[in-house]
Amino acid sequence: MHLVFATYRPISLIEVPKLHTNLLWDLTLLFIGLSALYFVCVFFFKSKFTFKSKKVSSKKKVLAPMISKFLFYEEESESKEEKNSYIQLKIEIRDLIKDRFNHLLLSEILQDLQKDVSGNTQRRLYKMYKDLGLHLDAFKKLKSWRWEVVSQGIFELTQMQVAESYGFISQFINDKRGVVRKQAEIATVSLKHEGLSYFLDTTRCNISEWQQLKLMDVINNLEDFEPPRFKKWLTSTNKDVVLFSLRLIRHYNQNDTNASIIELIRHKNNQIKSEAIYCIKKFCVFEARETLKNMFWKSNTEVKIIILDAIASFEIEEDVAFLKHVEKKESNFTIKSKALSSINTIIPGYILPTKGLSKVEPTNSKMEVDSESVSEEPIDNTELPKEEELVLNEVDAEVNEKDEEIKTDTISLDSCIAEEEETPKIESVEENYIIEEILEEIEPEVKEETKVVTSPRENVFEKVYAERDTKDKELLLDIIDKNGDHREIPLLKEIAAKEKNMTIKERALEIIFAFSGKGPNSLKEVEKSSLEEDYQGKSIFEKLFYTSDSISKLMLLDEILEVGDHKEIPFLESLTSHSDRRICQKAKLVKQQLKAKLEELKPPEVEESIEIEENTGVEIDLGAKDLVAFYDENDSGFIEVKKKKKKIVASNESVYPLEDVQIEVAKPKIKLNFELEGEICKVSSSEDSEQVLFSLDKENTIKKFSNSLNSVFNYFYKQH
Amino acid sequence: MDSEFFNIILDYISAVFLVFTFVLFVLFGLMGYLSTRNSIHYKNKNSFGDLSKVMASPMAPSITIIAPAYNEGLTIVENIRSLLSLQYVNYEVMVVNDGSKDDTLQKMIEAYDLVKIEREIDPEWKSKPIRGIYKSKQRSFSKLTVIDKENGGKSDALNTGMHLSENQYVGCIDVDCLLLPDALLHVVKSFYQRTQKRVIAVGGVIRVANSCKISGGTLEEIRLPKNWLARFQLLEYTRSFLLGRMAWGRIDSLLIISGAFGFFDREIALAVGGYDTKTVGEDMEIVFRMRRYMNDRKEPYTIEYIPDPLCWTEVPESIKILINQRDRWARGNIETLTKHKDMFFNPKYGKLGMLSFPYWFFYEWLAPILEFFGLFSILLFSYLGILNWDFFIAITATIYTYSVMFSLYAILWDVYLYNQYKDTKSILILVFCALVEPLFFHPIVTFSAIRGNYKKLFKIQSGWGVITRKGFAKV
Repeated sequence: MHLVFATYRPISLIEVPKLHTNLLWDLTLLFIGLSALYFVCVFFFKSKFTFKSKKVSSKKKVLAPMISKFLFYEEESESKEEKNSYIQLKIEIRDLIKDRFNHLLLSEILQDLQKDVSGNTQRRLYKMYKDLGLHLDAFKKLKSWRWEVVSQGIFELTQMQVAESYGFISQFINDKRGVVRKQAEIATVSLKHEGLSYFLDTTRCNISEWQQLKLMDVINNLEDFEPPRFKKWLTSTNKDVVLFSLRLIRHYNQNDTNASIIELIRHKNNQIKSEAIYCIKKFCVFEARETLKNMFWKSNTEVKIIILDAIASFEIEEDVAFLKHVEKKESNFTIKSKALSSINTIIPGYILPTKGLSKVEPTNSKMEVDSESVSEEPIDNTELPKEEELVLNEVDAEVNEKDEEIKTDTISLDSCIAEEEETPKIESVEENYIIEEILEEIEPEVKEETKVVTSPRENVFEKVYAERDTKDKELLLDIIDKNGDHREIPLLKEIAAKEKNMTIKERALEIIFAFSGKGPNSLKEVEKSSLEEDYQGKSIFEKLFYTSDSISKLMLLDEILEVGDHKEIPFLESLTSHSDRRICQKAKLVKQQLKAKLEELKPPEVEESIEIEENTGVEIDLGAKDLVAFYDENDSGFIEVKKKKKKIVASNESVYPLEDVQIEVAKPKIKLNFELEGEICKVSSSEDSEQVLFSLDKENTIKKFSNSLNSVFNYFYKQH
Repeated sequence: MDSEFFNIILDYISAVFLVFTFVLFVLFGLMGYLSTRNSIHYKNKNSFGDLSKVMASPMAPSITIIAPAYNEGLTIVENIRSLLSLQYVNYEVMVVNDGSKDDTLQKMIEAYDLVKIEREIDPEWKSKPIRGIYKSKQRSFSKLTVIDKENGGKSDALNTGMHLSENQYVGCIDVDCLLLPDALLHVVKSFYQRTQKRVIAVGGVIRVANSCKISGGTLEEIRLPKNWLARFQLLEYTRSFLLGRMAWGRIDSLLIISGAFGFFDREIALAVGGYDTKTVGEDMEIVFRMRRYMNDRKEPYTIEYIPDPLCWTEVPESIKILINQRDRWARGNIETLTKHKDMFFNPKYGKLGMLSFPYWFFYEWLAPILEFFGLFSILLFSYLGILNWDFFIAITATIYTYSVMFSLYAILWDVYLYNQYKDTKSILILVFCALVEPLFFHPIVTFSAIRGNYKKLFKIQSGWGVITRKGFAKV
């Protein structure tokens, strides 16, 4: 017994570690200490963030007006005082940014602001950034050992378009730190137009798909960018450069490099292969057909589908044999399916659906179909059936199933046809090609009669389109889009002009665009021409409103109040019965406020018989309450001023009435020889005039009389 | 002799518990470190740049969001509306009505003006029969596709969606989840930012939406849940997603992507056969299979994890539903671990076999069982009068303070990175939750896991259980 015990102890497999209870308590204390530290840190960070955000917002209030004054300063201004005040402001800002926090904040504000401005203002902003020496900070960041600081520096210099930094930044193009490298790539492309070529020449690293997306975005936004011929990078040893170049070739339609692209179909990399095929498809490189067919069997599913798609796009009947072969040999359902659809693209109706159809009596059908393939396999037509016959059969099947929708349509069309029988017959079937087809589909028996219906275009609109509900209209447009061609354009234009529903109107315009086969400019023209008439007397917000989500709609209502005019009233009225309660309530509120505002802004009835000559210039409402000035561009030295009937001084605004300024108003034309001090409240436009509203500074307005008002007006006139 | 033998057994038990606890402390410490590094890296990397610039790029990939719906009539219309308003151009919302017994389909048809369309379906595809595919007549809903099929469970519905999708990536989400507008941009970035490795899946954080102000499918105000159970879950989710998964993501060993917000490379997901319809832990199981698939082919790959709060969901507010949910999770865990048991400490699978799988085995599956066993032993020893009270109290205090410390660390990182709960009161409530969670909430979770194990062991049939949700519109 003793022996057993004695031998057991020395060879015991495990000795439980003797944990002293005090050690556990020590650990407990350590964890309590750490917990307390974390607790403190939680509130430290929380208050730090809160404090910082408060400080930032208060500083922004100080800096924002300074920046805007700075940005809107007219360099050509001859006034010494203005120049002095500009220099004063500059000194003030320089003093302010001696403080590190202000320095960083100003840099941050300018970077934020540059996203919201464009053109001249943006250029001034970039200039201001450099004038204040803020870019030097960003340059310093480039020397940091921390990747995030370097990246931030590159990012800032890129955002603020500091072209001088190009040389410094382009050195980072092959940096081993991924984030730095990616920022450098974007900066190189963005800062100089030749940067893209330099980047493609120099980069040895991989370019991720995400990076390519970003680069593409940068390139698209470059002003006056002349893209280089990207074919020279198709031989690059960097596969990502080849891939990106192919994408750029496709994007910029550079179809002068077909031979290289055909070669790239044989590339081992599937992405490059796919991209090359996309190019071939886009540029219709017929010479690539054989290579595509040869490569087909060696490719994976994804590439195979792209190849089939490309072959289909060529629409060459000789390829049908190959596609049939693919369909027979391939086991993958998707590829088989794609092969069949490609055949149908080349020869429409070559393969017919066989599933889900009702049995059709052969006597009714004129189709000549290969009897072997009817039963199970998709039908392989050696003699192509006429499309109309095909449609008839399908419709027969559908009619047999007593589809409710068709029934409804038939009824409405029946009534429509009955009414139309009295109208004179005009043979202009061509114009309403699809309408006719639709009618055929709906009720084949009335085919003859529909010709009557479809004759005069206006009648077609009234009878076939106008009486339909929104859903039907959308369906009709879908069918036209799918099956129609340019012959539908007149009807579509009519729809676009007369339709009140903005979604349908837009849809019609899109189809016109698609059928007209023109570029985006022509779409704009079509849109303009059809909407021009339509928008007269209508709210410009209407279109935007119906294409926005709820939040945007509410925001739009705010905007209506800000910049809207009398045209918005009927629109707001229509919104008071909106299904969304919030929109409905807000519309009511906005309508009331807008009415009140418009009442206030109503052109005054001239109290002191100041006759204004015909108002052809810019109307400037001085103080928005008392004075209205007209600036005539043809007579730049004169400002016409008229006085409002009532003098209203808003509590938070300082408005200087004309009498107090002691300007002679008896004359219709006076030369306002003083400098206007105050804040520009608003710039709005109506049909025939531009309106600039000023809130005048009571203290300073009449202190300085000078010509500067002219330049201010000039500026705003140019702007609008 | 008997007493000696008993002591030895006790020694062994103590040793197991001590080693287990020690390793747990070390692992959690490491997790804290790795997640911190990953979080800082992520924050620095994403502190500048504008994602939205590329949302309409012609090069942006196409994504299908698949949302299975079963008896979701109450909230389906609003939920779809939210999904349709995401900031991305090239995407499709595919709602799979999994044989709902209520008016889910009817409501969708009415609200979105749906019509049945014809489409060829691979006859060899194995899933429950599809009754119809619907598209909207209205152009504004052209992104929406509704699949109506016979009931086959969530996995079957997701598989159907995956099969019918034609896009490069598929997102599998819960239809009642609320995605932030820029969610897809983050997902695309994650899929597209790698050059050396193929990203086969992307997972993200799930945040608790209970009591948040949601209007028109948009998250308007983030609020702390009013229900205490939801608050505990919020803390648990913060800890798990911000520390746990962030750390696993750092070492590319993430083994689970939440079923509520998971995106997959469709090609790979279909190559492994989609979701397993025989398990209730399908979200974890598919990740195992996809990883194995890539590993076996020796193709470089990774799974990305997005820590940004992009997906918001309601968590159970009743104990019964919570227990059912956790019971299901436990069963899913066992099923997956059993199915892939050959990976356990298998060096062929690298970190996956040597680290992730064992961790999952010991600390996700075994831990609740050991806890239960430990509690049982304490009661027994206490009854027998052999419990060393001094030691017991000391070690309990150590473990308790460690757990509180870990929770506070999670709260700290949540505040540092996202600072979503603006008022001090909310943070104090969360801290209070951290203090009492080990005493009240954790035992419920342990009990649920034991119940799941028990059901699995004795093959008691149990499916998904019913989760009743208020719906965001009603919150």
